[in-house]
Amino acid sequence: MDLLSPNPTIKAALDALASLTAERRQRDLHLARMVSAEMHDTAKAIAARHDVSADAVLADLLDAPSGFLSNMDTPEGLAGLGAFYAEKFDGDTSASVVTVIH
Amino acid sequence: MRAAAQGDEAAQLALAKGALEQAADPQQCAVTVLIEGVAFARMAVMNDTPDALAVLGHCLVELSRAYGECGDIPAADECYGHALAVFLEVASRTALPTVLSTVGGSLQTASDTVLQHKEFYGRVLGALTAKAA
Repeated sequence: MDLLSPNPTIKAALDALASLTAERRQRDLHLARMVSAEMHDTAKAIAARHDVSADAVLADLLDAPSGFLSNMDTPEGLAGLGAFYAEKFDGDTSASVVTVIH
Repeated sequence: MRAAAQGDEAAQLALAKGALEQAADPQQCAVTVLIEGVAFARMAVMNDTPDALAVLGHCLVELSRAYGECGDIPAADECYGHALAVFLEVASRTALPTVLSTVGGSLQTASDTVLQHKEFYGRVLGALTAKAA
């Protein structure tokens, strides 16, 4: 028996971890490219809607937690983003703000 | 299942391993099956059954994958973070180079969110294994 090799149960679990890690890495790379392009479009749209600097909005987006950005392509993520800027600049949290981001 | 509920370590581990097999069946709901698998594996960890930690980590990895395939990214991140905490424990107990390098590689690419979940589950795991000791 090779004492430096894990037993079959541990090996199967490790293989599963390595495979999922590789899948997640691929997904994150794709997401990073997609989010980067989307952030600029989103920042411009929000800036136009609220009459503020697109750079300031972009800075906020870049500071946002990764979990928040990874949800940006979902209705919930967009709604959260719209509500945040509506409150920050207008005090208006109506859903109509969300449509400007689409 | 009755034996597992009464504390039979072998039964707990057998049910957790069975969940991993069932989750591969497209007729089954992987999330539901694997949540049960995690519960049984966690019981086995409390009984300090050999390999229980690896099976718990394996169930959490597959649960993370299943959540990810459903599009529930926050739940997938949470389970992945929990799995990393479990594999870190496996690595510290076995000290095998293969285990250390795989777990180290996964930790290096983990997001802050995943690492927060890992920290949390590390504390949960500490309480579970302390009970077992």
